[in-house]
Amino acid sequence: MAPALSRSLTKRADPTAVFLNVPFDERYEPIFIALVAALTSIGRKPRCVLELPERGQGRLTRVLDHLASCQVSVHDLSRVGPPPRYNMPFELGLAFAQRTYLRSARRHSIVLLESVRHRLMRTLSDMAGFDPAIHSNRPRRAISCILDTLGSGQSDPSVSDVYQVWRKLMKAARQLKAAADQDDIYSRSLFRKLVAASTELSVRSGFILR
Amino acid sequence: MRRSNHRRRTPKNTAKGTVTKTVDPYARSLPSRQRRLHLAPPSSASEILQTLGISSADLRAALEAIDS
Repeated sequence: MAPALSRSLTKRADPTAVFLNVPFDERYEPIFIALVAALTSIGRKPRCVLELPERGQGRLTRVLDHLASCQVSVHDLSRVGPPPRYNMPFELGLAFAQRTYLRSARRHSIVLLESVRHRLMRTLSDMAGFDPAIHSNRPRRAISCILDTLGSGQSDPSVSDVYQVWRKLMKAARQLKAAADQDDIYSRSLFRKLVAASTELSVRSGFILR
Repeated sequence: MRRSNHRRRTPKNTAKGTVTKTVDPYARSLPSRQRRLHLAPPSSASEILQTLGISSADLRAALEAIDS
């Protein structure tokens, strides 16, 4: 194991950081933005592999490194094809392996997302018995999934309140993409701006402190 | 070398604990939809921005996009 990677795997995970293991495709963008909006609204830090620059160490190393730095990971297993996307179940396996075999990752928690109820039993039968949160490819439901699994349940904003943030964030995302002349939000620079916008909207809505 | 008398305790199924009553040992990794994860208190906006290394230029661009 490379020394840099080994170091990152033994350091303590950030208890409020949430690693997003989701498909980076155009159709998923509204759901992705909903996840970011929901996480910032409850004071969680959305993290994903987009943040890390490629410096020759490969995508997989970046994924492992980032997973280890987050106490929670969200895995969306809804992209079953065609064509099927293997990245998400693969990275779910990495998260399980880290949690099982790394002392520093024993407290790591995993949240599963799907768009169709009961489908996971057929697509990933190893997970039989587990209950993924179902977003039905709808942003409002995706917000509900995050608040339901990661919210404190006491001082959390309502799904409707976060949905209003999502609407404003979608508008901001369009502006950001136009300004950067990009077709989608899945770049390092745009992801940071998206999180900044979501955080600001969460503050303005009174969900979190500045 | 003195041997420790400390025994590993059997996990209990308590409301506060992280171990849930399941057949599969991996199940404790996954929250049921009825049970929220036990997490740290929420971060403030400045903590989120600092952790992600969001620069003032990024923040300015974000504010412009929100207010345009």
